[in-house]
Amino acid sequence: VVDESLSADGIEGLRAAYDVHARPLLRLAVALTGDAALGEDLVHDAFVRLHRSATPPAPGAEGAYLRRIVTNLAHDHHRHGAVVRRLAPTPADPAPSAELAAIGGDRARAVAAAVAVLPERQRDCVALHYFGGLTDAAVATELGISVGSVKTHLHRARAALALSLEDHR
Amino acid sequence: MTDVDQILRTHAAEAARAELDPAAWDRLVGRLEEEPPLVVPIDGRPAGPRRARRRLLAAAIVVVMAGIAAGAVVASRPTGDAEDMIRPADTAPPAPPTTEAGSGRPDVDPGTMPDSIVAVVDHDGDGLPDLVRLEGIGISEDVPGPNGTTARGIRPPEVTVLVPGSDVTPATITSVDVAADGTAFYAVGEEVWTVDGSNGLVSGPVAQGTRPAVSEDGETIATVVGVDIRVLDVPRGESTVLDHHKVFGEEVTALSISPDGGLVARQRVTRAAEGTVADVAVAVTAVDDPTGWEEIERSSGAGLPAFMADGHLALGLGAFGASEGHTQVRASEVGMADLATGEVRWSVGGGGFSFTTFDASPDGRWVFAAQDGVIRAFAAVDGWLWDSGTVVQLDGIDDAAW
Repeated sequence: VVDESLSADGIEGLRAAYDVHARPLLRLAVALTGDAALGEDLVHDAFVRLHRSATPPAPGAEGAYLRRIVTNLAHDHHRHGAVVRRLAPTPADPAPSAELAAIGGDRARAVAAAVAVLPERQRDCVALHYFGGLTDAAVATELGISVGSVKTHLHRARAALALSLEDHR
Repeated sequence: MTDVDQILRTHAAEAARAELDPAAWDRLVGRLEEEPPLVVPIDGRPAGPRRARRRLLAAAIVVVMAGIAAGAVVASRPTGDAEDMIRPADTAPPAPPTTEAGSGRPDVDPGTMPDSIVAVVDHDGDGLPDLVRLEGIGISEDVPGPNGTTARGIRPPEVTVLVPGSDVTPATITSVDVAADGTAFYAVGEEVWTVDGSNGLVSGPVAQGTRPAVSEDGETIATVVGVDIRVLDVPRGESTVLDHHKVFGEEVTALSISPDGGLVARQRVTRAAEGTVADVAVAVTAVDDPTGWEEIERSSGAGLPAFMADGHLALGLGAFGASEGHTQVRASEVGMADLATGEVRWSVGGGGFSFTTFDASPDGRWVFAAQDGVIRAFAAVDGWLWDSGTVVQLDGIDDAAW
């Protein structure tokens, strides 16, 4: 297999997409994980996949494509984290990272974890609306559902989060 | 609620303070230079996530099939009268199903396995069964273990809660069946409701009763109402009561309806006074012939019927009532009854696996059996069922449907 992904044109195109999307994606990833370093890793994973995709998104659709990948990767991180936490020995004194502390410490971690365990559609709506800064209509377009469904998912998500974040209100 | 809205906005604002390190781009380029491509197209077609998933699934099934390459295993019966058997267990196995040339395994396209299953399971741990959709089934992956070790395991499915159990209290979601368009018909208390899996829209009640079984088009619903079996023609609003020779102490514990809605199969359990299972049998009748029940291969205990699209009836077989103080009906083997000839072919479920839930995919190519946190898939080939291994691991599954 010849990897042509590092051609000059490919890199220039990727850099252009990076300049436009990397920062908002980082904020989305940090909000979804509560960890800035991890957020950067997920954003870079998304760009690696974009660059090597055999079916790249249509021009103008890169942002939605990258947001979808970051959201899925964040979800995978939480699920794998749950497996690791279940199987691995518990550290005697798990200290929050500097990044966590910088964005709100335990509460940031709790919010990210609570959002991560929402049902998929609710999680997507919360991520795109609150963390991605999209309007209800833009979320609906990106997910291919109606605005009413977005409102319903957000309502249910807030109700679920009200219970899971009770200690952080 | 407003508090939550504010918490989310504050969280987003704090996350928005995160800034990219100026050297981040260089690190990304470094990764691109060092790492191999994530997914390499191998057959000229794009290798998107779905195709990659199917390749993983295909690889997993190849491994399983290699382990049972000798063909579908003909099980000996743990109990029962051999004279009642259509094919005694100690005879030579009949001809194996169609196989790929030279491989010894059936020609099964794993890509035909449905990607999702609807299940009744206490997903949120509140003690109330929820109706959920499990997506991404049958995907194996390396699961991290202690001390940096990894082991091959089944990837947890994506879980979408369609109806939280807390939404229907004090009633309880007990069972589910799914029409071909994905609409789930679920029993809440003594009523059947529907939920559209694509948009979460709930409607109902659409029928009375429990243990709903729905035809492919969703227009015929069989339910258990008290001691009766009723079949509702939804467009006409007409209900037919099937006379199933009720006997004191017996109950209907499972129903299946054929894809066209014309046939109904029921599992009937007779219990002794102390509640233990005394007898289990499956019988089939046409909706147009409410008294015409014909029993299927009952000498070893047949239960958990599931109609296939090709005229077969998949069955759970063997070892009924062997757990939970002999009060719960379980099967330990799977089989297929040819409704045209009455022949029953059965295969070992594998590894002591026993199950209480059984269903067929809409196209009749697959059936699954579920119990104790495991859903196992079987490929249907020429009237045989082939064990394709575990496709879901999820604790607390009460019922499930494809």
